[in-house]
Amino acid sequence: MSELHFDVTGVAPTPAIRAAPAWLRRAAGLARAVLAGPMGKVGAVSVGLMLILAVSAGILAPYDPIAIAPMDRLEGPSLSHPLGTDQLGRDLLSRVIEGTRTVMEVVVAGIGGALAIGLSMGLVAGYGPRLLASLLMLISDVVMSLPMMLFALAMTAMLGGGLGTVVLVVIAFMVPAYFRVARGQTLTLKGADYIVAARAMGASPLRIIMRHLLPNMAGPLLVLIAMDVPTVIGIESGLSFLGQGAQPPTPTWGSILRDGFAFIRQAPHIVLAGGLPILIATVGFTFFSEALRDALDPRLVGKKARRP
Amino acid sequence: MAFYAVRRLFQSALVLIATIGALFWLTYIAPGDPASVMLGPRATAAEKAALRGEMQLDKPIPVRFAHFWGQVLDGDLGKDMVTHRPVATLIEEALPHTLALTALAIGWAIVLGIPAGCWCAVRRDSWGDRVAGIVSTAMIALPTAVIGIYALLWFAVRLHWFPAIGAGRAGDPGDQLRHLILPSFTVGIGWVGYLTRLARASMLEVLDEPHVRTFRAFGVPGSRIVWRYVLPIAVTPVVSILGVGIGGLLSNAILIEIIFVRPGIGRLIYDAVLTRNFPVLVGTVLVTAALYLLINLIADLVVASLDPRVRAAL
Amino acid sequence: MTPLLDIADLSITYATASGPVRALKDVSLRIEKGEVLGLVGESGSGKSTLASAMMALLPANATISGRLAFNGADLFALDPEARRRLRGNGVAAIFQDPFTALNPATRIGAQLVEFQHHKTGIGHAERTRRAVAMLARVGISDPERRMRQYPFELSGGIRQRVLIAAALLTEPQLLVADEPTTALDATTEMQIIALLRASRALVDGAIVLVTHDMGLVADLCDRVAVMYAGELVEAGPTAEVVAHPRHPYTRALLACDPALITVQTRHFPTIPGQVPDPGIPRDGCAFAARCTEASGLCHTTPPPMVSIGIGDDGGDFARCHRLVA
Repeated sequence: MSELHFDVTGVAPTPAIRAAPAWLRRAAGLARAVLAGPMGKVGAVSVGLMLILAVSAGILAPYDPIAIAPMDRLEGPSLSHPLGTDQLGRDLLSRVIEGTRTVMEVVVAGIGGALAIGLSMGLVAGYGPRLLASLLMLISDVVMSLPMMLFALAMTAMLGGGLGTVVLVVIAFMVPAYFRVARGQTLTLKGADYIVAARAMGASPLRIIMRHLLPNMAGPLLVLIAMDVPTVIGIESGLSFLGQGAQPPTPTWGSILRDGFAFIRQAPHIVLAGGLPILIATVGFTFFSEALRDALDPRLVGKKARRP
Repeated sequence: MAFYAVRRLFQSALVLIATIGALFWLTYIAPGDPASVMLGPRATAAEKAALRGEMQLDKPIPVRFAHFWGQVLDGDLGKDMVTHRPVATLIEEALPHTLALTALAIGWAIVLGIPAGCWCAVRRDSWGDRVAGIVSTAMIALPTAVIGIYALLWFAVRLHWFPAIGAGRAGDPGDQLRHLILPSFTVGIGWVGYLTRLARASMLEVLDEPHVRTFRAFGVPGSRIVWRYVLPIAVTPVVSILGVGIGGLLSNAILIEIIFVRPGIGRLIYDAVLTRNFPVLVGTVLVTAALYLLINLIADLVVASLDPRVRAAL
Repeated sequence: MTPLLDIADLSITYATASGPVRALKDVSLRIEKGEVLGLVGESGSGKSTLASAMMALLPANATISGRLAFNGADLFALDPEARRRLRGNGVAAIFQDPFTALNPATRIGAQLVEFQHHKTGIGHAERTRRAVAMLARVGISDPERRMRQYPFELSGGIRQRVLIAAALLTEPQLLVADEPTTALDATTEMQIIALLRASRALVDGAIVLVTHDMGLVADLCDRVAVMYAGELVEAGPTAEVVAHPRHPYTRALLACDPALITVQTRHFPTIPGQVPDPGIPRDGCAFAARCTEASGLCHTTPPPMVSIGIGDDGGDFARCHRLVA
């Protein structure tokens, strides 16, 4: 058989081109994939809407959310009050907008806290002694398995009501899931060749965690976060509805529901106003998380490629 | 099989003790003097001292814990702070209502969800399948509290199709059933969506497996393959999930009981929380958690009996 | 005499997410009752598609043109229900991977009884008895106990015997074995081959053995058909084709068979190049790019089927421009 000869006489070097950093390109590709389908579009719009409302609540709300106006109580939707007023005459649109900010604060605090604690626990469990890991797994199993409302109510009984308690409940319930993802990924990646190589070259565990483990966990964690937002909204609205979450006059979607429930027969527009943002937010975030998960699924990556 | 059952039983008992231990610890270690919290600000010193003695609050925690379990095994779950009725009796009265609600909710989910999932799997990627996919995702996303309130508003208040409040007249099963329909459907609706997706995914996975092709190569009719060979395998993850999901169902049942003003464990817990009635709280959590673990255990055993590979693997 | 299987100009195209993929192109073949045909080719040659077509078990996204007649009746002109009645009742199949071909949650006995479902005249007890007898015939010891076992309790070799038994239980006229030994280790493979050889006596019809192993074909088959890139490039009696291969691909294939190397060498022979992509349409001969004897005509015009040998009805042929006298 004839041998192959490569022509290595000389290839002109191409001028250096500034390419965008790798993670930015990946993120852009991901965004495109997510926005490709109808679910992704609806989800992205809802998520965007919620974030905008949360950030600019002070500017967007037409009235002061806690200003009482007894003369205008229990009015249905009108031009001056697009969502109507509640039993104390407060404008519902303003309360809903302000409520968006409050709910998002709970979401960020709750998921953020759970993420921080769960990640640390997971990394420790992955790297650390087996006994500690087993103990943590047992605890996480116990927490994950309990009926959530039951435990949440028990906690509010002991710690009192209020949004602070709600955040603690959220953290307590979300930590096991993040813990498991972090631990699973750590165990899987710990034995990977490039990690072993890095350690052989003297990289400290912290550096390995920051440079290698965290970026690889980013995908599944992001999906988990997006899927958890509706759960947190559910916890908050449930607890606030029962009077154990947001205390008056703090507006959250759940507390608006609570106010409206007492007047459900004569002024149903209140519960409609309270439930509407919940519907948009939960369905929107769920659609978004679905689209995100599909976009990140490596099995689907090749399928949509077209032939030249 | 027996060995597997014993192992699972042991695991469940361990989890139960750990759970109650955690709750116990939290309940009696919470900030503030438990006696004051329970009796309120107007209690006299003598009353508080009496309560402390009765609840052994001065003894160390492990002693109290052991004492508690001793009482439980005797059948004594403590007394309600307010009415002094035995907690066990209160639970006995409330539990059947919650169980009926939850059971019917699961019924809705199975009867609607699994056939829908199979239908979607067999008609994969058709227009109907896609619509069902979006609808079931929406069903999962919506929080139960909102669905409950809206259902109450629409079907009970506006349309008057179903009664809005209560459990119906005692001793009248027909009336009680009427009162159950709307609440149970509300609790179950998220699960209809979830089971549809799960059943669909599971069916598709099994339908793709080579042994289905073998049956087709021998000319076995499609319907027989699906009913006799695919469904029993596809259904096992659904059964497992139901076991795990009982927790979520119970959780939702609590909210729905309050929205529809029904008697049950949910109301019991809620009222106990409002009045800081710790004995009722601890007793209810114990019973609920035990029930939950039992159902999980049964679900796991059912799975093991349906799929012999599970037994062998463990 | 009507051939058992008469295939004329069969072309099958799959509609996939990345465009149409042509699995078979103008395949024509005849199989007579009583003969064992070997279907040889590399992965992607289309042999599995042809085997599936013979079993009347093509997926929904397949577009078919041409004719495949079983006992004179065109399979693809029949409605799906009629095709289903043929499967396991005239046509039987043995699949490649015994580890996944059996239902994991059902006992062997129940499956063997199910496989006889077309035999409406006999009841459950009789079907069980036949199954036990056949298990013994394929060399499985203690067949009654095996009937009660689950597939995961059996080794790969035993599972494949069970599958062969299942196929034989249907008393087929056409038995299609799709690479029955590929997933097995060498020792088990020899046992299964011996079993297949013995099964010839039990099949009142024809056997088609799909394989990539030329040695197996030389051992078991009367006739051989060679496939490349979805086309049938040569067919003829095994002894003749092995001794005097007419198509360049067949020659290259035989040259690569380690068992047939006579001169000591350090280089393991291969065919340079790659199988052409079935999704991309092409002109000319499929093998032209890799053929050492290709000429200009080969790259532009598809070669005709050239009849060779003293076969009476043109069943022996090779597709090559160079053979046109």
